[in-house]
Amino acid sequence: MFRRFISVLINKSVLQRFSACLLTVMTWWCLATPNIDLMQQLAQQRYGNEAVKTIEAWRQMVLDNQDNQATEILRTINVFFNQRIRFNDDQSIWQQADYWATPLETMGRRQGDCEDFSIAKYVSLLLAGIPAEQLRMVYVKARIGSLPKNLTQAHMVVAYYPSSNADPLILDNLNPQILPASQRRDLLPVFSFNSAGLWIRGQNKPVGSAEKRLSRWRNLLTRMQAEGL
Amino acid sequence: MSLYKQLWLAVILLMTLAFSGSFLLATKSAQNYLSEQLQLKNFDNATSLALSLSQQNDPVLRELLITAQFDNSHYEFIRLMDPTGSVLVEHGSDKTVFAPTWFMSIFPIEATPGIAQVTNGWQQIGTLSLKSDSRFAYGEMWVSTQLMFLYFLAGALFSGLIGNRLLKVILKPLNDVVDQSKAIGERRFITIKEPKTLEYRLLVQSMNNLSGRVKQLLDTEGGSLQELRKEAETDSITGLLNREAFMQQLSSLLNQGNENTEGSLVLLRLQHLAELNRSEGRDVIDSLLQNVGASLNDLADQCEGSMAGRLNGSDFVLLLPGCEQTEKTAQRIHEDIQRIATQMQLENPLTIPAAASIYSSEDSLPLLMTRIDAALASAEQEQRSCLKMADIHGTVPETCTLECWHKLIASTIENQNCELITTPVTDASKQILHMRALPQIHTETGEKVSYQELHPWLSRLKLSPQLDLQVMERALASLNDTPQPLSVSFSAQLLDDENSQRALFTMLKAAPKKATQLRIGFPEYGAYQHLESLQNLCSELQTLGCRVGIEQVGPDIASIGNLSGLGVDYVMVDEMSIHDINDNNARQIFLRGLCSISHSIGLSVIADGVRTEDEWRTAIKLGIDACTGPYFE
Repeated sequence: MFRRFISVLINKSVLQRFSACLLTVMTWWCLATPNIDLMQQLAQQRYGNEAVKTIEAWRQMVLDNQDNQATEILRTINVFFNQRIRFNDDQSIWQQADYWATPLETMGRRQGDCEDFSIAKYVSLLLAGIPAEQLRMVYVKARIGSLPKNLTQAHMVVAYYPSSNADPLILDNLNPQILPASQRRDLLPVFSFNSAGLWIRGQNKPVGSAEKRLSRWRNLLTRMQAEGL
Repeated sequence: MSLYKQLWLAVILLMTLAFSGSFLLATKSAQNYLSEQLQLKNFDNATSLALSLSQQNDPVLRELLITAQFDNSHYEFIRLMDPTGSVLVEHGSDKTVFAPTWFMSIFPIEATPGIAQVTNGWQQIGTLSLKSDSRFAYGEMWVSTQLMFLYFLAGALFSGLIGNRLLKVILKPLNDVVDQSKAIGERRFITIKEPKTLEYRLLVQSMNNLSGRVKQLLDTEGGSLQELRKEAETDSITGLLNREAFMQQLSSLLNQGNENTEGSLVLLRLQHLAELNRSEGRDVIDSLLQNVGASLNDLADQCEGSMAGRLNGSDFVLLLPGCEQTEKTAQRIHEDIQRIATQMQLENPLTIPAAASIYSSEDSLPLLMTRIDAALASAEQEQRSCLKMADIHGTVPETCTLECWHKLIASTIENQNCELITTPVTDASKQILHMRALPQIHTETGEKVSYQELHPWLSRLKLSPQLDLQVMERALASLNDTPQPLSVSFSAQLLDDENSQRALFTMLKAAPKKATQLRIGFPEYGAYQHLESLQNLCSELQTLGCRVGIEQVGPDIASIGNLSGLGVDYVMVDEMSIHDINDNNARQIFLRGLCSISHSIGLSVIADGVRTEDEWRTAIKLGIDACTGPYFE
């Protein structure tokens, strides 16, 4: 036991821990509300004017939509990303087998895979005022096309539950139309999750501080916060 | 507070700080580590359980899964709520704790519950939240904290032991330094070996320098005092020893108790000097005296150990140790002096009666002087310059022989009937400082024999230490009655007699309170011969609280530097130095010098043998601190 204490002491020097703590607190302080300006600034630095325009349009869309009906918000946001973002796989975009991009990265590069679409839509919906409890990101098994029935692939979509036991509406990048889940026979849900308990925009400090050992999802949330969300 | 204690406190403080610091940090770090791990576990377990639950259609199966998970793992609670917030399944553990509450409140392990969504197809089942049980973490932390504390205690003890040894090693030289400074405080100007530690070394260097300078000062001043003393001992006209000086030296020669002491003594008298002074004029007579003095000095120089003296205006004396042909030598000397007188071509011829005697270790000073005085008297009766040999077998009736003295002293010691005669020793305002005790014994006929008379025989018979011990006994006994401190005079022989010294210390240790009231004097002539023994004796006596002094100081004043390392309290100057001090300029200069040098190293000066008011006044004026002698009896 004593040895473990010593190793803990050696592995993480006090200073390192202290500075990490400080950084976390500062980050949380700065990101008490979404900082779209910071996002634009970062977009300018990283991706240039085109990206800034995209972010500006996105910002406008999110703000304009805040008073609208949920269905209208869903539609606008679904259209925004499905039209502006080109599908591409992570290997070509990021040279990694699987990479979860933040909305800024997705909009900056203007391409993404199914997770990137889902993430961007999910975050935009939250910003537009849809409560996290009504939203899920869902791992689904998707049948591609109709003829070779056994051609399936792992896919991710965003589900919106108008009420807790209702049939959810599905926002997908394969099928640009928003349809209730019951009409999406091609999708078989496996597991759903949202940011409840992990991240509530503007209010939540990152839970825990093991930034190096975050799950992919929490890693993404942390990066998003650093980019102003 | 001693340096030792301060260093100890500093060590303890530092160690407590270091240990409690690391102790806190380690516990804090463990707390963070455990919190983090629990947090991750909460998230991961919530997700994987939710994933499993999402694959089940049957609510019973779902509940079973949750129950199985809860029962076989470590959770504080697992809760499944439907989307409206009502609880579907809930499990919570008991509240047994493995660590004290105060400990948990000081080092809380905070981990938020893990939350995950459970669905069945597209249908929401609810939200799963679970929290790992932190009691085990607390228990673990508590145990390790206790362990840490034990390690801390063991470490503290161990470092304490090491520290103790280290401090001893570091402070060892300091003890020497402290001893030295104490010694200097007690007027023992000693030098010690320089320690290796820089700071101590500097300190010791300067104290050694101080001691060295004091010794040097005493040595040089002792030398010049010796010169002054010599002047005081010398007759100003003839350059010969004066009466006191000659008698003192002759007496100490005879008292040495050396069996080989043998030689001749020649006494010459220049008759009618006063009348000649009138008829021939003072200058002529002075030059006659100078010539006689020079001639006698020459003779004395030719033979080692010889000395010549002018006993009074007209009596001259020459001591020739080892000279056996007394008559022949005396005749030659007598003729030499007569020749000088003739050469002066005085109107009235000078008559020089002379006497000579051999002497041996059997003689005492009074005996020898009586014998030779008798011979001179018979020479004088002849009214011409003639030489008479003293009759060794004694027309003078000897009151007591060596054997007789031996018998007397031995019986006194055996019967313990020696008596102490006390004389006050007073300061400048005639306040009594202490009493001086000297032994006195009685002959069979009841006659009193004073210490002065007794002293030569004591040392010759080597009975001094025994009498010293008896004096000590009496002195300790008499301290019961007198409130004043008492001073006693010990013999030089005691310094050479370890058995008697042991007996002395046994007596003193038996009466530690009285020991502090004692002043013990040793004679100068023995002190320098047995310096090492004196040094040991001094330090032992001083630890018992006795004060130590050197008595009969004068003849060997040049060696006063030896006193610098002894820590003696006083010096008592001999009677000769005080004798007629009011009229003797040379002695005044000597005494003034002695006082100033003694005072400069903190010794007080006591004058012995003060006989008159005038002597006393002069002595006090010269800076003598205290006086004793017949004047105060």
